Amino acid sequence: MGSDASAVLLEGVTKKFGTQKAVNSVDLQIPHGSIQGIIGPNGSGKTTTIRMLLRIFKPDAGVVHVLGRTSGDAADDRVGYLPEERGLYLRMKVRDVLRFFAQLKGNSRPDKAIDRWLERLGAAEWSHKKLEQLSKGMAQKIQFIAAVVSQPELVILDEPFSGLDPVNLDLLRQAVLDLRKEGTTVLLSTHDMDVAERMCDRIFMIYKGNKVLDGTMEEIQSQYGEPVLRVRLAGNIVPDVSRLPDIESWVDCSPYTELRMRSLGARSSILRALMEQGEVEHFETARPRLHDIFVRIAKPSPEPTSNEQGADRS
Amino acid sequence: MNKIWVIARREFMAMVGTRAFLATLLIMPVMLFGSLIIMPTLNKISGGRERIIRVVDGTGRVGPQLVAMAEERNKLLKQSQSESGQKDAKQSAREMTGMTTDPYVLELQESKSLDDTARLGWSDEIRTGSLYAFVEIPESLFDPASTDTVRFVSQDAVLSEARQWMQAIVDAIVRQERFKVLGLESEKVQLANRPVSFAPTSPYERTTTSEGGEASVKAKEEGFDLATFFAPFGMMMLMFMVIFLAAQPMLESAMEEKSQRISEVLLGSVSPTQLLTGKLIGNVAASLLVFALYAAGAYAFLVQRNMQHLVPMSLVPWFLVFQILGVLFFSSIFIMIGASVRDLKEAQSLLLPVWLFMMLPMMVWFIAVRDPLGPVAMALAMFPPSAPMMNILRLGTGVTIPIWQPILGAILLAVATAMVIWVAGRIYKMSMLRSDSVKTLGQLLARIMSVSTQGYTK
Repeated sequence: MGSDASAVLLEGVTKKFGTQKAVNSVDLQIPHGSIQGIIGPNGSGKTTTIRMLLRIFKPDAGVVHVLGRTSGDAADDRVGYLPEERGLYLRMKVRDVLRFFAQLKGNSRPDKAIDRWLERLGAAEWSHKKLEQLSKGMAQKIQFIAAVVSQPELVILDEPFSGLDPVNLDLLRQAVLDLRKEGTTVLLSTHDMDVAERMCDRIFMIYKGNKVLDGTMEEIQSQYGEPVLRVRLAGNIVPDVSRLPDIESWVDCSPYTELRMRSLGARSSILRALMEQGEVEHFETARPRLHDIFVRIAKPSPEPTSNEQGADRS
Repeated sequence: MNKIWVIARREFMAMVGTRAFLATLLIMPVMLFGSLIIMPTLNKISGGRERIIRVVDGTGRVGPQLVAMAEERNKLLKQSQSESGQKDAKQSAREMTGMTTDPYVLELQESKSLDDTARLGWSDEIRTGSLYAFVEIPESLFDPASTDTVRFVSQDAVLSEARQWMQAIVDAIVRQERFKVLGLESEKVQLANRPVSFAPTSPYERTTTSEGGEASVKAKEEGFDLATFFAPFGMMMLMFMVIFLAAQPMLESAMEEKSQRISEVLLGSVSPTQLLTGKLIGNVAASLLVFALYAAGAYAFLVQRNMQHLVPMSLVPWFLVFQILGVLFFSSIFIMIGASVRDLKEAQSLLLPVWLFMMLPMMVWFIAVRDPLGPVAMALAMFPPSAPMMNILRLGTGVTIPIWQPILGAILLAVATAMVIWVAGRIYKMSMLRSDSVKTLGQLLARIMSVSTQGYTK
């Protein structure tokens, strides 16, 4: 897929601060109209990657294509950005700050869009309040609006759901999903693995500057999934494991039996063998959670990642 | 370009559209000129208290005249305080009364002298506040050979305006009496004693008629009054206020943008150069508004007092040139510091030397006003951090400053400003996204020296 077919295309991108490689030869392709999750521990290179997408940083090697452009000038107005938690002038009024950010993106008459978004996120009555008067959750919603009010083609959201109560969380999640429906590409940086798993079409994980995961959730789960089957036969019959092919070991988790296979490819033959033993009531491949995969990759390192340039690379 | 204006507009509104701006606008002149404005007002408010003064007159002739003069003074004072008071009466009252507007009630005593018991008793009355003062005029005062002194007893005897007022009157009366004793004609003595008039005059210049023809050669006689002396000081302070009011918010703005990660959002839309340019344009616009407001206020104040001739209209272009350059110079420095620190506490140690440079003209203004062509004034007029204040102070004195000097001062300031903006832009790019901070001037200089912005695309 070429750069035109992707909203974002990173090709062998490397960024160094002094001698420290913040991002090391990373490739990434984000299709138009998708939600791409970007995950990784603090200091892994997420923020540096985002800043390269925003054209704040220039890569030392490789090419960054954003919306088909390799230079920032044209794409600036087509990319919305929500930084983690902060990013707003606290002493400005809600409408003024939204108008300012929209105008900065080239939207000279943003009032209708502002009204629409304020209404949609239940913040219309706050439009004349100062940001410092708002609760954290409400400010988060305003920040979200600031990122999307200029109708960008690519929205980069860094922890957009932090500080939200369940009602507002659902409201904002739906807004993000609606953006995708409308054709907007969303890059979602988050530490909430549940959010990433449920919302993202693709997940990209960066660890110590290197790409360690990239694909759909299914692809990642099959890459990191344990070859374990959870089965149950009608009448609580315990399967005769000796008659099943490619089984390495098994555990009785009554009423289920967990079967560790030699490989995931053995599932069909095992199912057929089970059906010969009785009526199969339950048959599932145990899917590893993203949380577990993340923890498995990002085990605590005895060497802290230094930051010679001082840039925040969380 | 459009984005620069969007940023400039926000910066302008952030500066002037707040209650804090209005409050600072009002507080600054009070802080700097407060005593000049407040003292007469406070005097007026605290005025009106009767000052009871007992007079023990050994001569028998000074006391009645003092009482008469005090009554005359009180009458004039009352007249001048009433709304229908005539201008002349007000002027006479000011001459007679000085700053204090308290009426003096003189109680002439029958006795010609006091004993210590009376002195102690009256002193106690002074301490309790029922009596303001008492005066002992010795009997021998008219004797030209007398060395006796008049004794004025009060709690504030040294600074008392009543004592000064009384001393002048007693002095005049006693002199007249001594002339008589010595057989001198007082008119002749007064004529002989008349001081020599020595007029301070500015250099002569040719004046032209409205048709352009030569009319005459004229020189302006100048009186040494407070207005002439303080006008340059006022202009220098106006420059300081305008620059301070513009530069200080730049520090806060840069710090807020850094700490709130607003810079990250902004830099996702504009380049650091565009951002800095927008901020400085908004800042200069706000400073021009501050100047316009202060200048209008000062002009209205002077017009009300029929002193508009003191406004040096010819200096307005100079003022604007130095103001714009000064605002750009100091605002860039403040932005640079704001971008390099994490909080106000860290900023303070870096700001101290900047403040010292900024305040330099204020430390030597007295020398500069007396000798605007001297080496101190000249050097500070060429030194960029002090150039805005010092040049306007020198020009405000009315002394002819060779034209090349303010021009050179402005050029040097412009060059320094361009360099500071360039460095500030680099530091801004490097510092806004960094989580560490600069704590000392040395570290800031080190960062300036290593102005590598490699890795920043915009």
